[in-house]
Order: sequence, then structure tokens, then C-alpha cells
Amino acid sequence: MHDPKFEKAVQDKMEKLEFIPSDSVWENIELAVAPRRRRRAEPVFFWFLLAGLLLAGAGTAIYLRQDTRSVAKNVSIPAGATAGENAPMSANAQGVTHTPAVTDPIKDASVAPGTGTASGVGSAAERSVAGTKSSAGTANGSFSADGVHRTTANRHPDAGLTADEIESVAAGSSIDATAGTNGAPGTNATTGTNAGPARGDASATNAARQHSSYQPGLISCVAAVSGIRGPRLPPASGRSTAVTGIPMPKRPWSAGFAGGFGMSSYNQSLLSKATAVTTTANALAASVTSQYAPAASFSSSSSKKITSTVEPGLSYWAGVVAQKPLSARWSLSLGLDLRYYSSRLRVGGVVTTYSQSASALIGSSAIAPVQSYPYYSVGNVQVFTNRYYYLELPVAMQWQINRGRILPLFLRGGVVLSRLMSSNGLYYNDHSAVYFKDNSVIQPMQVSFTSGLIATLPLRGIRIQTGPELQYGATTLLKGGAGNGHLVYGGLRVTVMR
Amino acid sequence: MGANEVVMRTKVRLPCNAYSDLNVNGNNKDRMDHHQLVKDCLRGNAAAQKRLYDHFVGPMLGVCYRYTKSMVDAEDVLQEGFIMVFRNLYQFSFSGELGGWIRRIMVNTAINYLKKNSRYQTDLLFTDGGLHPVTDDDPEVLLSTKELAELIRQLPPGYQTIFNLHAIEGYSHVEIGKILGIKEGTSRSQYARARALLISWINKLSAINKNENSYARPKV
Repeated sequence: MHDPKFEKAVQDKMEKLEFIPSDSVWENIELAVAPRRRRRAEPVFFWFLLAGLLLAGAGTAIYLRQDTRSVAKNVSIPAGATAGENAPMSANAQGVTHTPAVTDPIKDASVAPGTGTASGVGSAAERSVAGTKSSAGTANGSFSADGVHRTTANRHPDAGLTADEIESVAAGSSIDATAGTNGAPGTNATTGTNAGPARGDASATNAARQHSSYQPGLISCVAAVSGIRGPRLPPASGRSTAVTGIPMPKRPWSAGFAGGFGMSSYNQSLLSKATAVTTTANALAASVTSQYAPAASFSSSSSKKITSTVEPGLSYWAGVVAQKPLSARWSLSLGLDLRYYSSRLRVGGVVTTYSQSASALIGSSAIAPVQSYPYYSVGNVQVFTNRYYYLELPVAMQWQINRGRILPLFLRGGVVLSRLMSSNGLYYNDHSAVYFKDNSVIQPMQVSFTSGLIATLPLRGIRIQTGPELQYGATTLLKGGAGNGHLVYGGLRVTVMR
Repeated sequence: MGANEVVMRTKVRLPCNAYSDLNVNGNNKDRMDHHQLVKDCLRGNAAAQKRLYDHFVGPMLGVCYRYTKSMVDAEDVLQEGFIMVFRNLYQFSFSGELGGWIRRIMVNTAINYLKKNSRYQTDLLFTDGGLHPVTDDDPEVLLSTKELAELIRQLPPGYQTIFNLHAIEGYSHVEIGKILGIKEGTSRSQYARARALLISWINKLSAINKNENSYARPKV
């Protein structure tokens, strides 16, 4: 059919057919193939990063939610137990300088056993005496129970309860009775009226502030509890791809995960240990005192009552880090972390109040206990853990100490900008001599100094940097005048980088 | 041969053993080098990919050139083919020759390109031609490689494709029928026409070369 010699000749000729393509061909091929190569490595790295941050955020949210639930359950305290808890609280308050608004007669009344279970009318009478005394300028004396009552009264100024309702409420427990009494018209006003000009202003100011802090009304106490919750952590979405994408051929950016764990605490100075002191403006966080009582009304008494020392708590953090060598020895380190601080303090029992529900206002026969905001009295009944969650942006420089390639050592130092995400910290109110939660007194933005010693361990293309780290808050934890304490963290830092 | 002057001679395991590979030496060491090159490419080594490209790009562009009508189209096919090579390199079985495997990808890419490109679609309508001319000529191919390639490229696209597949790549008419979606007889008749036409052009051009010692493009 055809001569195979022809095909063979054509094959031989075509074997030698070669051309040189233009350079754009390889460039296009490289562009088409190279992203595929990069995509193969990136998901492993960044998906782990994303998953880690999501897990951290979800865990934090779940933890905070559980913590709020546990607080909300503590709504009922037997009358006897309340009296027992209030008694030592008042006893601790003896001889301690607080505000002029509280006087010895009241203190004595609260110290006396069984006073906590007194009827509402009796408490009102005592408080009216307290107001009268305070108007005379008596400066000394701690009155925790009265503070509780006053706070409760300020929270429910418009209760509008009748005397029968008050008494029926008072039958529930001593604190309920006090709350009802304060809610009665005229009784609570006695305190403010007799407080004198300066004191009266203070009371009004305090009332106004407490109104703004707490939801007025009985039912809204539940809302006040829900208001304890800190802001929800936003989904961490900060990817450092932009960092890795910066074309720096000689000293490129490198990214990785970073984390650490250690101990954190709350120090009033760099080396001193903080105490929850019931001085004028000091407590664990001493916050509310300065808000509720102006500085002019503070006593000059130097006597102090240590309510609790702040003990260190566990702290850990996790995040992403990017580093760029600037020279042979210097390198810049940036990061985005979520850090958890904690500190512990010893508090007394939970002090709660009963509030009437709306149905109780309609039908006085049914009195339903409604959860209200819990307080913790001063004491040594339990250990409470203050928790703080910060989103941090650390900027640090690293200086290589030695030139050894086997185990390079770095000195690390820098600044950390932090934003408070959530907290459940307790703060001491020396008016009421109780601990309670109020995130509004915390500085939302913090600036800290960090330093550490880092050793780099090369391991199959992955750099592991680890070493001790110390971080000290340059700004105070609480807002101005509320306290001088700073957050301190010390622990081990671990960084894994490609 | 481009940047790399390494030429290896090894037979390509094509269907009819019709085409030899680039490996001229044919020893095991070169094969091992190719295997190592493939492994490096699979690890994402950009330098290895560039070496593989430089090694095979010249002959592969020649293959693409024979199936298309312009160098631009040939480079498009070449680019698409090498992307396919790198993306499917993990499918390469180390038992065969790398050059033959890449060549098959280039041929398939070229055929797909012709099918997709509207410029070639109308000319790729293969019809049964009935009787086809029988040529018993045994022309001596005295043309240069590029002259012969130019003549092949002057064939109508349908003829050109079947001639390339059968005469040069070594595919049987049955395989060509499956590849192009035509009957075996159609492939045979088309090939006979293409062959006869090409032989006539070769004879004509050879005569011109002899007489005038110059190149004249035949009129199709």
C-alpha cells in the first residue's frame, strides 16, 4: 500500500526537528506550576493556625459562659449562714478606716450576732442613725453590712414596695429584709439626707454611679448579672500571609506559632506583693471605692485591714509570630497573641439578695426569688480566681548573644500593646466591704514591657525558640485612682517557626 | 539543543517504535538521572523543573510545530503540554522513558488544541474520501528537516494530523480512529491522500532544488 521506506525517512528527519521557544513560555509555565507548589505547603501551616485560634476563642467563650452560669446559681443563702458570714466580715472591718459615712453604732450593730437577721424596720432605724452619725463627720469605722444594704438600695431605688411586702421579703433572710427596708420610702433617704453636705453629695454621686453601673429595678438584676460577662472574643482572623509574602530575598520574614505558659500576678509595684487592702482606695483592685467615694471624704487613718493577698495564678498564651532578621545579630519580632492572666484571692461566702419578680408585685402572696448580682464577702472561705483575657500585639527586638550556630542565644526585649477582651475579676468595695465584679474599672488598653532569653533549636528545617520570659505591665491594671497594681507574667516561651 | 547540550539516544516505547527518544546514549545511568530529575521535580524543586524543561523543550517544540500552523500556536501547545507534564508528573511510571511519556502528552495536548481551536475545527472534518490515490513512489527525501516539516505543515489540518500520528508517531489507524473519533477506513484514506500529496510536493520541491537550488513553496 505504501512504501515504509518513506515513513522511515520522514521519521529520521523529524527526529532532528528542534526549535528554541521564546522565554515567555517558561515564565508562563513557572507561574502556572509555582503557585501549586506554594499552595501545597501553605494549607498545612495556616490551617493549623486558623484552627488553633478558633479553638482558643471557642474555649474561652465556653469557659466564660460556664463561669457566668456558676455565678448565677449562687442565689440562695440561708439566713443563718448569711449572718455568720456577715459577722466576721464586720469583725474584720473593725478599726479600719473607710469612709465617714459609717459609724461605730452601726458597726456594732452589724458585729453583734444575730443582727444580720434583724427585721427590716430595725435595719432601717440603724441606718438612719448611721446617716446621722456620719453627718457629724465621724471618719473612722468600717461597715460592711451597711455597705451591702446601701448598694442594694441603690440598685433598687424605685422598688416601690409596700411595708407588707417589705416585711414579707424580710422574712426570707436578713439580707432580703435589709433590701426591702432600703427600698421602703423614707428609710433609705435618711442616710442621704443626714449625711451632711459633703457626704450627701457623695451619696448622691455614688447612687448615680451605681445606677449607671447597675440596671435599676428588681427584675433587671438578672440583666445586671448578664452584664458581668465580658465582651465576646472576636474570631481571630489575623493571618500573617502578608508577612510571608513580602519579597525579601536576603532576610525574608518567617512566620510561626508561639505560645507559653507560666504564672501571673497583680503587683502594686514591681517587687511588692499586692494585697486586697481596705484602705481608702485600695483593695485587690480597690476600684469601686474611688469611684463611689470622692477622695475628699477619705479618712486619714493609717490603719489597714488586709482582706486578702493576691496570689499568683496560672497564665498561658498562644498566637502567631513573624520574625525578620535585620542584621547579623538583630531581628524584629511581631506577633498577635491571646493571653490569659489569672490571680487568686481568698474571699468569703457568696452574698446574694433576693428580689421580687413581677408576679410578686401583682400578687403579694407569691414571692419568687430572682437571681441578683452575687457579692463575695471578706473572708477565707474560698479561693476566687480573677481571670483576664487580653489580645496582645507584641513588638520585640532580638539580639543574638553568641555566634554559635548550634545553639544560638537571643536576648529579647520589647513592648506589648494589649486589649482587654474579657475578665471576671473581683474588686473590693470598701463602702460595702464586699468583692464584686465590675469590668468598667479595668483599663481596656494595656502597655507592657517584655523581655526574655531565647535559645534556638534547629530541627529538620523547623526552628524552635524557647526560653524564659518576663512581662510587666507598664500601665496600671485599673483606671486612674482605682489602684496602682500592674499585671506581671513570668513563664516559658516557645516559638515554632518554619 | 537549547541550553543543555546533553543528547541521549534511547528508543521511545511508542506504539510502533516509530520514534526514537532524545536519549542518545541509552545507558542506565542516564535513565537514573532522569528518574532523579523526576523525583526532584516531584519535591517541588524549581531548579529541577527548569532542567527538565530545558532538556526536552527543543524536540517537544518540534513535535508541537508539526501539528500546528504557526509557531505561536506551537508555543501555546508546548506551554500547555509542559504544564500538564509537571502537574501529572506523579503519574509517570519509572519503567518507561521520560521522553516518550512527555511526547505522548505533547501529542495529546496538540490534538486537543486542534479540536478546541476554531481555526482548526473546520479543517478537521474528516470525510470518507472513497478511493484514495495510491502512490508507489519511493521518493528520496533530500529535503532538509525544516523543509520537510514545512511541507507537512502545509497539509490540510486533517491530513496533517493523521500523517503525523501514523507516519511519525507510529499510531495504527485503529488507534487514530479512537483518538480522533473517526472510522479506521477514514483514517486510512486520509492518510493515503496526505501521503500522496506530500510525496508530490517533495518530488516537486526536490526538482526545484535541483534545478534552481532554491526553495519554492508549493501551492496547496
